[in-house]
Amino acid sequence: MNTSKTPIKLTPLYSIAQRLGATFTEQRGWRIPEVYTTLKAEIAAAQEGLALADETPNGKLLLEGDQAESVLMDTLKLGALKVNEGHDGIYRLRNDLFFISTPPGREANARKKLTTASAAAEQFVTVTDITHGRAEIRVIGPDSQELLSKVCGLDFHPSAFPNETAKQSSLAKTTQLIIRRDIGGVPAFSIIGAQSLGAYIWDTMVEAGREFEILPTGRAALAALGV
Amino acid sequence: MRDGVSPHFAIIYQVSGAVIGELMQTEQDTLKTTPNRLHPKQGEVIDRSTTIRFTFDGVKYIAHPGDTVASALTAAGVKVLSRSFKYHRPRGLLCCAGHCPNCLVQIGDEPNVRACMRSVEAGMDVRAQNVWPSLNRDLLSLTQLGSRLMPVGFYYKTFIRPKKLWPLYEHTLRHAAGLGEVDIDTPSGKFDKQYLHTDVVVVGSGPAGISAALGAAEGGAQVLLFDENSALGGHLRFTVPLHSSLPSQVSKDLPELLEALSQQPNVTAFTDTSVLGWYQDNWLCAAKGARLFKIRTKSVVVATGAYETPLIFDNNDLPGVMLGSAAQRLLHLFGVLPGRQVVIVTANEDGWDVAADLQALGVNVAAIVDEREHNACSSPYRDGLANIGVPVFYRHTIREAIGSSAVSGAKIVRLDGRGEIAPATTQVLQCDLIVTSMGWTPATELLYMAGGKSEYSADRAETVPVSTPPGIYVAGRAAGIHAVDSQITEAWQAGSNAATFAGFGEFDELAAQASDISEPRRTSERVCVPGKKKRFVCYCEDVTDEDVETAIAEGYDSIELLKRYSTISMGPCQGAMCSMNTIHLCARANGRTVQETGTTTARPPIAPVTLGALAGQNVEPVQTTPIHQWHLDHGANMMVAGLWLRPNHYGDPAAEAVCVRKQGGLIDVSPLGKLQLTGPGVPKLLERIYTNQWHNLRVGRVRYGVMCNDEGVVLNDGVCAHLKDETWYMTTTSTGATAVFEWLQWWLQSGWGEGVHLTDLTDTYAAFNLAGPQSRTVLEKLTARNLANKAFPYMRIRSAKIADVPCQLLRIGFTGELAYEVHCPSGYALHVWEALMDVGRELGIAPFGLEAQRILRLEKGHIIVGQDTDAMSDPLSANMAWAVKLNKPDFLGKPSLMRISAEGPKQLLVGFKMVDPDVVPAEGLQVVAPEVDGRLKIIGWVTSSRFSPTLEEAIGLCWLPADLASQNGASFTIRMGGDLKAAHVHHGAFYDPSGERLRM
Ligand code: FES
Ligand code: FES
Repeated sequence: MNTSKTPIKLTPLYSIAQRLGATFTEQRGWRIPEVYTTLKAEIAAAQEGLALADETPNGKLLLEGDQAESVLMDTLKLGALKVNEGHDGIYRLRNDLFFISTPPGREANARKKLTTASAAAEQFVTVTDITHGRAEIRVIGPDSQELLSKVCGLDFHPSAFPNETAKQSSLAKTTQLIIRRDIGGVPAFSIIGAQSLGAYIWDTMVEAGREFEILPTGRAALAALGV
Repeated sequence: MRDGVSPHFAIIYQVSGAVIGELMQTEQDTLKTTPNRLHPKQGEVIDRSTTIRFTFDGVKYIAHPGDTVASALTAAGVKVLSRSFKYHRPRGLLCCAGHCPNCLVQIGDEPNVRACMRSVEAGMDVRAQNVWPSLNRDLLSLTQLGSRLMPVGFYYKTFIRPKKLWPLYEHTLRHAAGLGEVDIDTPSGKFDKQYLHTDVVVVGSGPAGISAALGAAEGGAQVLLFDENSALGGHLRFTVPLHSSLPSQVSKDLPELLEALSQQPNVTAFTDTSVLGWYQDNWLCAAKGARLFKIRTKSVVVATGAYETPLIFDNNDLPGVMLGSAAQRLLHLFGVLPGRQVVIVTANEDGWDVAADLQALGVNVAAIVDEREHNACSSPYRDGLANIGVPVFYRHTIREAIGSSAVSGAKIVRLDGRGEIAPATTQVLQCDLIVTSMGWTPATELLYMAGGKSEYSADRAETVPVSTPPGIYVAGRAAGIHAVDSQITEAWQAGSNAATFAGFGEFDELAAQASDISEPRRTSERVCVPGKKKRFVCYCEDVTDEDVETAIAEGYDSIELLKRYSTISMGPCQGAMCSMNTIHLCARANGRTVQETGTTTARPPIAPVTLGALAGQNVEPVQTTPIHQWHLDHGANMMVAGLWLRPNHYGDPAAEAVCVRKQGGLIDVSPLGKLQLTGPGVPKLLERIYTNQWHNLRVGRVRYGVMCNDEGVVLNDGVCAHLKDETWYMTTTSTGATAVFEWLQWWLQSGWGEGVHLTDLTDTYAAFNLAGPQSRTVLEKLTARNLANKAFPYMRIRSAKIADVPCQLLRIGFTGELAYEVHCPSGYALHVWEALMDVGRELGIAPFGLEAQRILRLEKGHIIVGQDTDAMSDPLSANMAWAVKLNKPDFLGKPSLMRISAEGPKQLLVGFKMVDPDVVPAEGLQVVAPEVDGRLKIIGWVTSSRFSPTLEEAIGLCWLPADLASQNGASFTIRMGGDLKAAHVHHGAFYDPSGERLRM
């Protein structure tokens, strides 16, 4: 066997970040942008304007089955969720389908735990790790609702799309899962969809966000914001 | 004159180049002054502190910021702005509100811009459109001489014979008719769209619209207020009485309303925004320049006002004939005099308001021609104007506008006791402006689209809404309310009701949406004054009242038929200027009432909108594989496949194919559809959706399968692997991945989902196919897994770490060589690919693209679903009978395949070789055979063809009649351009027919 390099995981937005001159850092085996411009500008964009961040490394699981809810309740002591509602990174997409978001690198454990629990309960529940399959782009800032209204037909007003809500919709002619995850009171939305469309979605957001002076934001700014 | 060629066209084409040059040389290169600009006045929207320059047909003009193109040109004394659609008659400002075709111009590369709505920008290049050779000397206006050749519905009557001349007619008509020109070389502009969500939408921001918005917002609703004009206020912006000595009822209202609006945080106002249409469930569409809004609202207040109705009389389209509201817009918004000597033709107090305005600003009011009796006029200006000597003609109307390219006088006539023209009463008045104020047509298109109904009130000669669907409210002039005080109070209530409907507060049953309207009549029933010249009903389409009569006489007597036959109301203004008048004319000609005649159906878009705005952002989704950048960095020639961008080749596809055969190659097949199926019900599902058997496929094995629809037509193909007890891994074609996923979802949700979960992993795994005799050696350097043929034979799947990354290895391939498909988590794709390339390079492995793959698969005779098959192809005919098990229980397509099997396929997909090995017939070419009479009959077609670098000859696949296809070596002919090329049938794979190489 002949392998010299340590495997490194790249997101579908890696080349874009390279072109933008980002500096990179590593997050649980993923190489991700640390800073694109300046930390100060990126934090300011997120808090006062509009920022765009690559959060593809976040773990992503799908839990499917008529008994998925009971497995979740037993395993994670989770209360009942209605469709589109979420709590603590767990979102109900259909009666029998949940999306689970974990911090980077935690998906394998979560998967194992849920698979074991379903097997123990003799329930027909399928847990699938789709972390690599989905790009995750977070739009952050006071202008994020306005930006999304240019690419998606959903109503992003907090009364219609409260924090910790997940909706699947057409966004810029593609199917995406949109989760509202505000950051300390600043509106923020995660857009999760096929990784092969990640670069397209990013470019479309940048184009639509030009009028709001959208700024790519790296891991350092996110960390400073408490993400 | 030759057969059927109209004399005027002959004249046009006989004009020599020299004459044209002379005609074009009419303009001077001097800056035009603005003799018609008034002194500054309150309420105007122009900024006089600065000037900007622009050109109109090459002549320089000045404007102030805030001017429209039309106001600036009128200030400079320009009267003719366009030529009419069919007869090329000169046209000038009519409505000044964006509701007619008379001011359409070309600005830069943008055609059909309404000059009265577009603000001037410095350096603007404005041009007249549809004129030849110039606006002021348009030779195409000579078509008036031959207008008998273009009666109503002329396209059904003339220019038909002789048939062979149609190309000439068509060319000529296209040249003569039409609007602006689209320059296809112009780069597409930036367009986008935005979705808006709200509780209440108010359309129109006149006093009624603003008041409705306030009423709704005070109830707590979020309100979006739209207006097509550049500022809020509607008619209050320009119906401000100037006579300080005369009572001013309304001047105080607009500032108050605007102030209240500015204090109301629940209202968001959009100016310069046209609402284009109403759709199901209160979904509205609006356009603001390059942006399209799609608006979802709970309720709507239609406060769209009314169109001032033109009067039809001889030469009523002459530049200088203008609506009263247009004159007021020019005066009050832009400080521009529309003329120096005016005749006002009216039937209501609005006309007197205009007369008072014009007189106060120094225009000589040559006459007020009022069709009413003296005592029917209650204008506050009546006595004042008479006292200062303005001539007033009661019981008179206009008969004709005099002038050739602009108004120079007006013929007026007396009306007898029955309202008819009294003989021998014609008088000629000198004037350069004729203003008509004859009445109003409520702008109710949105109301009608939403399902609302109006009825014609003969007393008021207007339609009045009688029913509105739930959640739709009407206010202001659209509801037949003209008095500003009533507009404000009634609209407030309408807004409040709209908010209640949207869930804010309780309904006040007593507060009617619109109380009983008892207003004085503002609209005359006289829509047409008979005469001897052309009288235009529809300005957009150049249709006259005589055309309407002719059409009705020819049997097109219902209003909908009349519209379609005459094209009335189908022009850029969509009937704003002509619909009501046409209904009156139609009613009269049929001896019916206006109410009985009905209206035509209102459809979006109400206002003109660019295709760019409808299309939105010029982006289409593009899918790229995780190693897309690697391909670009290595000189890949990319091609579009579905939504994917994929390497077609890296420079030399034939060499890539040879390399695969000799050493090996690596191709990025990440776009392959990859579906995970789990659960005890999977084998049963596979049996139903594939045509072959699945229940017996053991863990670790892979099988090829074909999917058909209910008609037995091939939908997709691919392999499916049995990974674990209840876990299966299916691959589909790259472009069919989404369709197969949806197809399976459909069946799972339609009763076949018991015990099956389906997950799309297409993007979760990247996939690379390592093919060629060296592939095993390469892989062995990167994995500890035993790859020996015995341990890992053909059509098997194994988990393995490749370059330290956990992967699935499938021993399959499309090339006919020993091959492994490596499926790895997408994030690791570049690492794995580079590891394979690093090791492979030493062994002569090179990347290959889709083109090489197509050559290689063709050499093996493998088909590509969608290329070699179409929407009629079944697997029995498409050389896949081996993958169809008709003896298994029911599966999708089985009944159809049973029938085809019993009858025998009529066409078969089969391989072929060319007799001349260097001739490669293009895909899609016909296979032909001579008939008895010697003519060639199409008997088949080529679906795939390539020059095989391995076999060094042209090979391909084609559809042939079954009897011919079943004879190995049989000859047939392919039509290539004018030549016939010989080919012969080839059964089996062209390369390695026994399949030894892939089992090595
Ligand atoms: S004059 Fe401009 S649209 Fe009527
Ligand atoms: S006047 Fe515009 S469509 Fe008739």
